Amino acid sequence: MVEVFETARTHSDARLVEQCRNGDDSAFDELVRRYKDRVFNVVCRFLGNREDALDVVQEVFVRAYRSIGGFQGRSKVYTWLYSIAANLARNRLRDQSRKGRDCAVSLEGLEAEAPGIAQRAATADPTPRKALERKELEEALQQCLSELQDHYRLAFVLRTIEDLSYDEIAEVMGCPTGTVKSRLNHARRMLRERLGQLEVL
Amino acid sequence: MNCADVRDEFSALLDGELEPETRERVERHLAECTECLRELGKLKELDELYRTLPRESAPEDLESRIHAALRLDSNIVRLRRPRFERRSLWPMLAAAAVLVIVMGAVVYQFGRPSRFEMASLKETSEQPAAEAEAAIRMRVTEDMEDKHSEALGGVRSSPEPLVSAEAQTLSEESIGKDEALAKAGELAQQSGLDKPVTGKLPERQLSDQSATARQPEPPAPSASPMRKDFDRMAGLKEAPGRVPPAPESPQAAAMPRDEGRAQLDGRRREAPASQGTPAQAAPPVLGAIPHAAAKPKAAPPVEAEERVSSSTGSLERDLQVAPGKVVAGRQFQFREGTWYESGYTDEPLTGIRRGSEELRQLIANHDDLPGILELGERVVCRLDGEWYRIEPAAE
Repeated sequence: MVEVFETARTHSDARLVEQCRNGDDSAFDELVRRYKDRVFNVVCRFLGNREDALDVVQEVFVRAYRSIGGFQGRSKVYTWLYSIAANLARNRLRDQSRKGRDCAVSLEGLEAEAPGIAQRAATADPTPRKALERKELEEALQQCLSELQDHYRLAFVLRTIEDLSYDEIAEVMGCPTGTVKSRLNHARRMLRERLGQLEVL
Repeated sequence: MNCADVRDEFSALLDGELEPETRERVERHLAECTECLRELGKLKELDELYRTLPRESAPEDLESRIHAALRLDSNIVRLRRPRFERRSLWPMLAAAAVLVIVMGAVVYQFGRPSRFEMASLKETSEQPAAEAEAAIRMRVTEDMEDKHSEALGGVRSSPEPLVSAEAQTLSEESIGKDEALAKAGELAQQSGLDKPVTGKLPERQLSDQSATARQPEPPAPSASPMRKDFDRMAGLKEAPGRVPPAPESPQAAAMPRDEGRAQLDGRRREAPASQGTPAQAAPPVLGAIPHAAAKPKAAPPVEAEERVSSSTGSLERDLQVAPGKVVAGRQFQFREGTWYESGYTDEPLTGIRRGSEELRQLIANHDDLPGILELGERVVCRLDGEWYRIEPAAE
């Protein structure tokens, strides 16, 4: 049933792209409305920063608008958008690292702050304290994710959070499916290890 | 398959991406290995943790930001366009530069303020020796007046006599004597001419006999081949040994009658006394009167002309000399009902009638020809090194 729905939406996406090519800006607006949150979420998880993610996603759709004439339709619209987003997000990180900007929190600091936050979040009362612990857990998860190398992180986000297939991830990342598989395996192992150290797992 | 091998497949197993055969082997191992089964549980929990992370939603203003960025983007594209269009401005700038140069040349050549000339002429006119020459000049200009009338088919554009310093200048120019002109330049400077006469050729003064207005111009001290050409083109008689005048000039025929008329005028009656002087050099150039055959004699008349023009200066503005025009960077002078391109010196002409196939072909091969044809019905111009006379269509 979900597959049928996805197929219908893919056809719908293709029609929207065609309308965009014919100068129908409202069709492009519909594509933006349809995918802005998904793209934004991926970029947010990849960058770990809403502000940066907003800039990148804005640019993603500007680029998409400009290059929609060259969109061949061989891939799905959202994988196309993800691939644009992945490139722009990686460029963003590269520029930030060149500027010496390092948003990463030290692992030692994180360990000191949040030992066993997953357990505490699960067992605590439904109070503001629980919400705070939940917030801490989310930050720890994001922090561990941010420590992964770019291609591991992106593969994991696309698979676990966005539920893309290996083939789709390969399409977005421009790599073989086997590479996606190994990257995901490596990403999970790394996360498992780090979250274990944080007593989250 | 040991534990390490099995755990390498956990990721794909969780994602449902394992080959059936590999999956079966992994499941067999898990059935026997609790450690690996527990580790697989941790990985499932890991995925669940990340899947339960709240999804970040794009801010409400994302769409408007995208729209704004796209507008800015299109503006940037629009702003870039003039950079390309700027290139196309170069021809316009070049054309403007050419126009300025041409206009400058025209002003320099034809629009020289007459006050310079008049001021100097007034000074020199006080010299008694010039009075006789002045009389002759007056007659000459009167002759010119008649010629103008003839050229205009009896219709004079100005109710006042076409007597002026310009006419005098014309006659002076038509002397065609280099020495005389050079002398004129010297005299002009000696007499306090603010702006020394230059060697620039006032071609149009020699040739233009039509009714259109033209600013007077001081005499030029030198004569170039081009000026000689115009002398001939204008049908002006020249001294022996010089380039023979164009025989078809109507001015030569007009001269005797004018001379006779001049005899009637009291002032002019003084002229004959001076006609024997070198001052005669000037009038003959305009008409049939034999003029200074000897170059040294040409100088005094020039001086006289300067003085004469002062006495007729008030009428200077009345002199109507056809203007030159510049079309497609080419200079044309109007005389005797025809626009002549600068440089024409009696070369054989190929007559082309308007409306003819030949003209159409010429137009097709010469982009500037249509503009030239707009000068007037009759145009003499050079195309591909050949001279053509464009004539009205046959009736």
